[in-house]
Amino acid sequence: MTLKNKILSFSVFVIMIFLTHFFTLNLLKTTNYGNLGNWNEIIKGERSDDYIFLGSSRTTQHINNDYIKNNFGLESYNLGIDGGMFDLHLEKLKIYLKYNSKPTNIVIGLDSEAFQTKKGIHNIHQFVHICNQESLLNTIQSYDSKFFLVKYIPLYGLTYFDPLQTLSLIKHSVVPNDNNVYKNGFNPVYASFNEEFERFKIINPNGINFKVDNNLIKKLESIIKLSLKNEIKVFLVFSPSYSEVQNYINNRTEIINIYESLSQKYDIPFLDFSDSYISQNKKYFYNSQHLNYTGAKEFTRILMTQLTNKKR
Amino acid sequence: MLFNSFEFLVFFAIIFVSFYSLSHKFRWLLLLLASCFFYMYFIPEYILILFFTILITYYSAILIEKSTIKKQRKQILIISILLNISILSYFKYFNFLNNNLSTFLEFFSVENRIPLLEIILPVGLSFFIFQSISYSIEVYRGTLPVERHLGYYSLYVMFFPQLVAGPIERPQNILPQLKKKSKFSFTNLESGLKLILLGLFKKVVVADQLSFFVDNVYASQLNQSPEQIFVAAILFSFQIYCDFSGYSDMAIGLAKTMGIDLMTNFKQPYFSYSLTHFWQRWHISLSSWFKDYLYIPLGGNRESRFKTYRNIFIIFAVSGLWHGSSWTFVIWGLIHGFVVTIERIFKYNPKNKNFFIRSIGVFITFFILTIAWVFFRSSNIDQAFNFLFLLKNISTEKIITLLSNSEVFYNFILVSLLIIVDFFDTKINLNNLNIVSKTLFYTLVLIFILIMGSFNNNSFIYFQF
Repeated sequence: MTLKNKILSFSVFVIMIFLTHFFTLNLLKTTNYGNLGNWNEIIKGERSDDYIFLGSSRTTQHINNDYIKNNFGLESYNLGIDGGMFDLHLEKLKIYLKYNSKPTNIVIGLDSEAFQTKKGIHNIHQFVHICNQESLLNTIQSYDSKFFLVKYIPLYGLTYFDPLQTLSLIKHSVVPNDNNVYKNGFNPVYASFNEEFERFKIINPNGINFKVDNNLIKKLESIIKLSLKNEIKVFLVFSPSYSEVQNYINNRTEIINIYESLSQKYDIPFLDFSDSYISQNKKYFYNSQHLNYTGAKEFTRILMTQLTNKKR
Repeated sequence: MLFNSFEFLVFFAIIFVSFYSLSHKFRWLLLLLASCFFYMYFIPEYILILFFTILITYYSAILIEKSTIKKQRKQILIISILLNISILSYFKYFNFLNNNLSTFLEFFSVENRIPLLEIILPVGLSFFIFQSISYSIEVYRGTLPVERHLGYYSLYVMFFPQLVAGPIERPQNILPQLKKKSKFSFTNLESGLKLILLGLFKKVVVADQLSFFVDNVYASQLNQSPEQIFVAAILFSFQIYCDFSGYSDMAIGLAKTMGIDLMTNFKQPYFSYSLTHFWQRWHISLSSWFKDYLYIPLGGNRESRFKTYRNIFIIFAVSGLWHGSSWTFVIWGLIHGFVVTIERIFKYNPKNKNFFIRSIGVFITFFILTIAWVFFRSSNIDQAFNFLFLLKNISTEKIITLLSNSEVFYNFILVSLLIIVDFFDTKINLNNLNIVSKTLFYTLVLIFILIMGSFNNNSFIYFQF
């Protein structure tokens, strides 16, 4: 092979890689698809909300933000991260505050397993196009030490995407579909109660213990402190979980006590919906921990009624 | 370290550059150290097993060559093989044998007091043990001069591209190549990269994607519909092919970039029109190993018909056990043995028949293979029989409904793509393309793999063997 051909060949390779890289990055940064769109909307910096909601999938799927606007006349945004923990929630809050107007209220969604450290990050692909957010990157690095390479190696970020998600994203960019968009961050699930809980009971007849990582308690405290520092009113909310599952979480009282003590320490309201009528009825859930669309609407109604009453 | 990981990419880039930067006399050392590092990346202390195997076969081969007494040569060979088999048995078959002993003793209401061992199987154990044994046998047969350079011999056993999942190489093929001075060649690099890309495609685009559905069905034995089992059985046939042949392709490709030709391990096996034909195209390095070192020494097909059939059954039962210490693997092997014997009895060979007859042969062969794979994949015999029993309730209508599920549909698109790639693999000749078009083509394939691949660091199925 002549030197000319070697240079030509190498140039074709580099150009193709970089072209694909920039095209992909542009697609990711402009899409309104799923949780990618959620991040893009926050970074766009046009939000001015009365309420923001922070939490895991029990927030993304439980808080119907359109319902809040239509029935309470309030602007709100759902910052929930599916499978996320307080360290990631803190980063999302920081990014929200960096780009948008300060909200009036923040509702922090709570979980029984919120203090249990996970081995990895669920849906890590959602962070690929925002890896230039240093503080967020550091948090992700603590779970995946190689993630920083996304920043430096073209197309490396693609390896974090699930092929079916990629296909769906490409399809959405060609033929946009409203079902793929988290409206104001809300990700409804239209399903009835599935078999997961029955399987869980077979595997764990004596229930389970969720470990408590003190570092994650500190992260929750950081969220509270950051919000209070910004003069944002803070609410701690434990949304409904199916009543029967509560008996299978052996250290549930310990976890609830942590939330109560934080509520007292920072003098912020703690609203626990564990015993609400929603928790007693399977029709509101699609699994033991998550509300379906009907449940989310009902829960949003009673939550916002209480929050607006409390404010008054 | 997995071929489909970022760590391996960095590792190989360093080795590749160092390989061609170093003078020939140091290359064996580089490759040997790289192979040690590669193996120690899994469980570091298990390198000692590898060293032990190497030392046994290295010194026994020297003793075999030195000895002029035939009986003594044979005794050394047997000791060498037995020591290797003992290592294999201890790590792979101890608990299996112990469990079976317990079941047997329970029959007489006697308690088995031998405790089960908590051991992790060393990665690639069956592969390097077989490769070591083949060296001892070849030296014993006098078809190969003994290798006195411990470094080169160690590298023959440990050469990292094929160390943990083959191809199971022969010393005649590898040792001379390791010693030959090789110059950097773009042709080798291109051929190697082509195979690496093909292997990556099979592994991360096809096998790992199919594994989501298959693993889910096999993991939860409850609530699986006959249609899901049917689809999972078909998909597993392709998953295991892509997983294993993908590894082989990458191994052969990696070696090729360094100027070393490893043996072909797969030749489009699902286009086989009989099981006999299949075994000429599937895991060729293992089937030829069994043929050369077990089937032929047992008498092969030179003696009576009965002995030939017996030999076939022995080969396939041992082949089953080679794959894993479970009765499911033995049954898998025996199904193959049974069908190959039937084909032999009826002299079934549609090779010279028309396309239609051969196509029916391909279809029937795939059906039998898929049934046998159910045993291979199941965690126990009960699960395999339950799954096969449930298949009688299958409904075509529900299959169509299942196929309309986007995940299943996508999986079958991938299978179709694989069949196309496999079919055209040997027919496509890119040599006529100019260098720019070739680079463009390979870059697009790479981008496609990056976009459509699952990079979850999924291990290779055959690592467990």
